[in-house]
Order: sequence, then C-alpha cells, then structure tokens
Amino acid sequence: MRVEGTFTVRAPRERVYSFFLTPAELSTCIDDPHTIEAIDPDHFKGTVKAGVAFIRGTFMWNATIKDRAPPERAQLAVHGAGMGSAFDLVASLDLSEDRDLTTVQWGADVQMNGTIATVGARLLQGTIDKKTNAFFENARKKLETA
Amino acid sequence: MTVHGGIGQSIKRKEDARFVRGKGNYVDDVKLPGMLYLDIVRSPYAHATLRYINIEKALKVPGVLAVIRGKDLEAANLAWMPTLMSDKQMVLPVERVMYQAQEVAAVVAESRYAAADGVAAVEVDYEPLPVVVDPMKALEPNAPILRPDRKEQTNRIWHWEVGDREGTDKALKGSDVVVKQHLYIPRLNVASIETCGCVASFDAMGKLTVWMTTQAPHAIRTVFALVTGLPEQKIRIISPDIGGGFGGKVPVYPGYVIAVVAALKTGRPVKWIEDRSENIQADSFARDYHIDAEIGATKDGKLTALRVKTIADHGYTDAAANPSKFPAGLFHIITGSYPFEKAHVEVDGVYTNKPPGGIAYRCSFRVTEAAFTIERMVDVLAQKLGMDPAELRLKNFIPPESFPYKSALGWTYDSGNYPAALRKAMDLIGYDALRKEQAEKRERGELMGIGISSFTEIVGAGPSHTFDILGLKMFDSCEIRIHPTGKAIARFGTKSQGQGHETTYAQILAEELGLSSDDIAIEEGDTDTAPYGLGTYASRSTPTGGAAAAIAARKIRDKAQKIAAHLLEVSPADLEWKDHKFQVKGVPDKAKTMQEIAFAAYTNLPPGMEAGLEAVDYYDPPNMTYPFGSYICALDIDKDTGEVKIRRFVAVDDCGTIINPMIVEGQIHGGLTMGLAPALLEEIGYDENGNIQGGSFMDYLLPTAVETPKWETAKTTTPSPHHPLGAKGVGESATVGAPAAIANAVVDALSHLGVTHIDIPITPWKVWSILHEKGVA
Repeated sequence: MRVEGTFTVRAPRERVYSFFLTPAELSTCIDDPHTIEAIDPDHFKGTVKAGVAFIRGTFMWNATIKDRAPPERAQLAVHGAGMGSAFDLVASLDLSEDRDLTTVQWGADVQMNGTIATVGARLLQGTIDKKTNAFFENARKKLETA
Repeated sequence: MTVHGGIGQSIKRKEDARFVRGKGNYVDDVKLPGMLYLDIVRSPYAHATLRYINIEKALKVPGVLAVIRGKDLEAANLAWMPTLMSDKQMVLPVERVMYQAQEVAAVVAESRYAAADGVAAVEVDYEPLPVVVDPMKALEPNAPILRPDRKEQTNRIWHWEVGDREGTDKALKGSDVVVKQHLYIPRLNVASIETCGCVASFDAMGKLTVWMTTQAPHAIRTVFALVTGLPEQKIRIISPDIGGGFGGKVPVYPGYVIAVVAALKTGRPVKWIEDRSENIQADSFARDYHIDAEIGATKDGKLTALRVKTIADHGYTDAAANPSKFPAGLFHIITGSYPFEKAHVEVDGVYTNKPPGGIAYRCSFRVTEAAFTIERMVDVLAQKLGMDPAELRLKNFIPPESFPYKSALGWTYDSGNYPAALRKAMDLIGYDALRKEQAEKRERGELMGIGISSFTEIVGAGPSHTFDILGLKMFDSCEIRIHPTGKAIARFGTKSQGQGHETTYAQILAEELGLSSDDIAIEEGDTDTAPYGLGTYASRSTPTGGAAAAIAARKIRDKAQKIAAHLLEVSPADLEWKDHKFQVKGVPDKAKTMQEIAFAAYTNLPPGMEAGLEAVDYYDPPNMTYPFGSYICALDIDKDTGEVKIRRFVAVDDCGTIINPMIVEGQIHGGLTMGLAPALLEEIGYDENGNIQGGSFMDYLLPTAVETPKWETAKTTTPSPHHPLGAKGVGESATVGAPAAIANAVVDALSHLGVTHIDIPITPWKVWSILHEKGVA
C-alpha cells in the first residue's frame, strides 16, 4: 500500500529536516499512546498502542534511518509487530525550499500482515490515511509554532 | 399397520428436546477439575523464516504455565503429522511458516484470558519470504518451491486424469459446436456455528480422553495413535454434540495435537477452543478450483464430448480427505445427468501459501465443483445454440430406462429419472409463463432471469474395493442391543452434527424391529462404546450407517424368528414378519411382538440358544448412491444497484426412500441456503502478501433470513436398488445443485446483453459493473 502527500510549512529547511530525524520531536506528532527511544543516531525503537476499528493493541517497533542527505532527503525503514500482526514501511522525505517556506514531499510504502490486514482490511487504507495526515498536520503545526 | 416413528413419518426430532432448551452438550461445555486453557500464537506472515521465538515474557504473565514451540514438539517427533491424503502437515513450525494465521506457538494458562495475554507476550521474529498466492504462478518454472522437504521439487502435488483423452479430442474436433468456458469456484469457509476445539485429559493410568469437535471420531483415534505412538486402546475420542460440521470437522487440526501435548506436559486437562477469526483464517477450506471446460454438441443440441482441465489450490499441504484412489475426490461425476460418450478430466493439485483443506463444505468430495461446472456449461451451450436450457437438458438426459448407467468416466449410476424431476419443477414454477413474462419484461428494459440446474450427486462412500482413507475402508457400522423389556440401544460409527441421527436411525430400527422409535436410544461419537466407523460427511450416514442399521436389525429378526417359533410352538418356517411382528402364516392372531420376543431372549430361550438379542453389522456398500434433482430459480436484477433478488426457487429432489420427510425438507432448506451463499456472497480472497481478505463475518458474508428467499420444495422418489431401504442420502444435494441454478439465472437475465458467464460469487458490484459496461446502468 502506498501513501504519499505534500505540504508546505513556514520554517527553514534545515529546521524541518532536523525535526523529522529527531525522535523526541517526532514523538510530539504521534497522537496514539507510545514510547520512543533512540538507540544510536540511526536507530530508534519503541511501542505504540494503535489499531483499526475495534482491533487495537500494542505494537513494538524499531526504525532505521537508511539514507541521510541533509537537508534534502532521508529514508526511514520501520518494522513493527504485535497482536498477531506485523507491519513494514519504508518512508521517504524530500524537502525543497522557497524563501522561508519548506515543501515536504513524503511517501511511504506500507505492508501490513496478519490480523489487522485480514480483519481490518476494509478499513485499513482509511485508517492509515487518517493517521498519516494527522501526523504531518501535527508536524506542520509544531514547526510553525516553534 | 404402522409402527410409531417408523420410516416415512415426519416425527419431531428427538435431539431437539435438548437443543431448543439450551441443554446440548458441546465441547466448550466440558469442564474438568483443574482444567487449563490453550491459546495459539499465529503467524502474521504467509511465508517467512522463523528467526526466533522468545517466550520469556509470556512465561512471566500471571497464570501462564507453559509455552509450547515447534522445537519442543520436534524433540518428541511431533512437529509434523500426516494428513488424511498421506501428505504431511506441521503441528508447530520449526523453521518456516507457510500461511498467514498458521500456528506458531501455544500458550497454556490457568484461564482463557491469561492464555490470550500470554499469546500477546510471545515475541516472534520472522524473515519474510516470497509469497505464492496464485496457483497458476505456483506452477511457473521460476516459482519458489514451497515444499523443499519433498523429493519432487515442484509445487505440483499430483496430476490426475481419467477418461478417454484421444477419444474426447476426436469427438470435440468432430462436433458441430464446441463451447469453452473458464470458471473459478472460490475458496470458502464452512462457517459452522460452533468453531473447532477439544479438551484433552490423561487419567492416572495414562489413558487419554479427548472431547473433540470431530465428524469422524474413530478415524481420528487411529490417526492419533499413529501420530503420538500411544496404544489405540489408551485413546478415547468423544465427539459430543456438534454445532455443524459440513466437512470442516473432518481434519486433524494442529490445535488438537498441541492440546494433547499440553495435557501431557502439565499433567492437567487442557481445553482449546478457536475463535471465529481463527476458524475462518486457518481451518479447512472448500473449493478453490480453477476450471477450464469444453463441451461439444451437434448443431441440433445433442451432447458429444466433455473435456475439463482443473488447477486445484490445496494450500501448503494436501490435507483434503478424499478417498486414496481419487486425489480430486469424486470430481469426475462431472458428466452429470448426461450420457456423454466421450469425456476426459485432468486435475493438478498445487501448493500455495494458504491454509490446507479442500474437502469441507458439504461438497461430498468435490461433487459441488463438478455439478456447478456441468450445469453452468450446459447453459453456456444452450446460449450458443439459441436453445431453451430446459429443452436442451430434456433432449440429453440419461434415459430412465438406461439405469444402472455407466458413465464415460467410470461411475455406475444406480437409478434415476431426470426428465420427471425437471418436468415437475417446470410445472411447479410455471416455466412457460415465466419465459413469456421474461420476454415482456425485456421489451420494457427490465432484467429477469430463469436458471435451471439438473444435477446428479454421488454419495455414500463407499464400496471397500474402491474407497479408503489412509487405508481404512469406508464401511460403516451399527450395533443393536434389545433389552429384556423391549427397549433398545443402538450405536453407530457415524456422528451427527445436527442432521438428526437420533431420530432417523431410530425410525429405521423402529420399522425393521417393530419397536416404537421412542423406545430406541441412539448413541454415536464415543470410540470406547461405538463400533468402528468412518464417520459422517459426504452424505454417507443413511447410505452406510442407515444400511448397517437395517442389516443389523434383520440379523436380530433372524434370531427373533427362532425365539418366536419357540414361544408359539411352531417351526420358524411357519412364521412371517408382517405388520411389525412374527405371525403364523395365515393366522394373524397367533403372533409375537418384538417386545415379547425380547423378554423371552433373556427368560425363555429355545434349548441351546445363547441369551440376548443383539447384532452388529459393518456395512460395505456394493455401490455409491446417486441422488439427483432439478432446481429452477427465477430472479430479478435491479439495474441501478446490480442487486439480485430471487423471486422464486423451486427445488425438486430425489433421494430415494425418505426416512423422515420433515428432516429431509429441513436438510434441503439448509442446503439451498448454503448454495445461495457461494452463488451470491461467499469468498475467501487473499492479497498479494497472502493476507486473507475477510477474516471475520464483517467481510465474509453469509445469507441471513433477509437474503434467503422462500424455498419451494417437492420430490420424486426413485429408490436405490442396492440400498437395503432404497435410500440415497440428501445432506448435500441442495448445496450441490443450488449455485448453478442461481448463476444460470443471473447470466440468463443478462444474456441478451452478450453476457455468457460471471464467476461466483455474483455480487452487486460485479453485476453493476457489467451493466455499466454495457451501457445499461
């Protein structure tokens, strides 16, 4: 499943880039209850309590930054598992700057497996769209109010 | 003189007295002191290497006593078990998982809740592998080999064919008209009300008792003995009340074996009951046949030849339960009700990353697939020829005088009168008037369809010279004891899952013995008490168990005749069995009832005769039985939504002699509804990663009362000449015959638009898409 989008934020590109690669800052954009812990600059892990419709539970996840090209591009791979389900996603960020505006072009290939993909299949796309949009909207607000 | 509750009487079902009051005793009702609960960790991936399973956190969950992994079973040589098709199946994996929702580990705990918490705490690390979902792609040269453990390094499990290949090719080439059609009959779940489960318990002497949701307790006991190495006399399988089986409770599921291991490991009884999603995702499926069919005919509509090639998706192991000689079951009944001179059928079984199964769902060994194909194809041909489908059928039916009839694919049909059944259905539904109405509606732009299915079934497996499962011959059995007061108990090797055996078997015995059916207790399902039998599936209970009951009763009558002669002081040859008692020929007043004879069997025997009035029979049928029927469906289609609305559905069934008309009608009503389901609603689909799309009743759609039309049933009666009672079996007939009638009706409604076929399930979306494409919607 592919999800992608673009948004513009009134913040310098370096600041936006740093924001998305700093676990503590990312944490402020996730609405669902979660933990996040940096293992080293390229690896972090945590938990998130999430789900689709009534299928909810705690996922354990770990993330690896696969590609850094500051302040323009980054790629992140995330694997999560829990409640009879697993997900893998590869997310990319491409940042471009125009005066004081930074345009964030993001995309993610998401593969869901197990109970969530099976029982929640009908609701999956909508839920992922909703959560992703909420994440980036939170990020935009944080960046513009910081 | 009739006997109370004899053959042909619509008496109420004895078992319903407890079922309707909630007093049934199902596996989940079994509660033993100290009983533990088992829950299963299942794979989110359809194909993956197991890197590790970390159970430390799970073992710290309060109430969790043990976690069982594949490597624990491997040490006891229990990680794999044989399937009923001589393939092998993982109990728990050691290296790889092969389908989404496969069992990976099991947690044993003091409560079901603690077990579920334990499951959530088990950490499994997987390395995903390429997934093979499409069986056609599985056969491509570069496809990953899913079963490297086999000598044959291919995903083709077996190739099987029957019939005259060259003769069929020649006949098709010489035919005036040949129609071809690809049909996909999708994967289904049986959706029985009760899911699968068991309670396993060892006693102080090491004897294992398993209360289990199984349709075949004796065969399961033997498989358990082979798998576990336990002596068979130390295994007792009890199959209590079963909440629907439909073939889904024939296989040995890993959960059964794991529960036994857990009971052995903990020294306490262990219960495993799967939930609905587990049942849909992992249990034995039905259908999943990809079929290419061709029919040849003369230009005036005389059928000449049939050729069928099929890809059968079996999942990662062949765990169907077909007779050993027939890996594709009885699919070659596909010539149906028609006297093809030439026919040829090929089937390739294929491995994919899906759950195993392939026998479930009232399919009687792939007969539904066969009936659907031939009845759909006859309509495809009728459309090509511009003939009325009823006329084409009537022109081609096997003539009633041809029975016993040997088909081009080797079956010998016992009896039938196909024109009578179809004509009766046409009369009941008013066929000619419906065709007239259809023509008028078409003029107005309305969509109305009429579909026919004149199916022939093959049931009652089966004769021992041809039929076995894992070498076990497919006889079945009945053991009768008549007590001194003239009451009786009879035990059977079959096992009811709701069919009403406690009533119908008692009716057979009442008729044969002259006892009231109220005075006859029927027991099944306990391997310590019932005679060995192969169980209940494929509509085989009345053809085999029912026949055994009649034969055993007649053995009792042989002895009873001698006792009666002794009591009446005449020669046995002077007596006749008339009006359900032994009477002196020509002197009806001088007679003895079975009750009187039974008392004498324990109190006043002829000199030298041993006491008691008992008999047992292991019935080996000389042939299969061939129930048949003609169904006609009339429906309307909403042009704006694509919704199919069945207006009338007439079902004329012929199952030979009927034991209890009310129960048969109930079986037909249920079967028709289960035939409606795959025609319009049911399908288990998979995404490209092997995830089931529809693992709950939110997406796996079943017909409710709202979707179910009023079924109009009728019968003809053509007894089986070889069955002691003339009965043929009816459990599956309706679900075998109904899907084609509905699909044919939908295609008929759209035929003037150039539509020749729609794969089932025919959803509103499919219909609307066609209408939209044709510019109608």
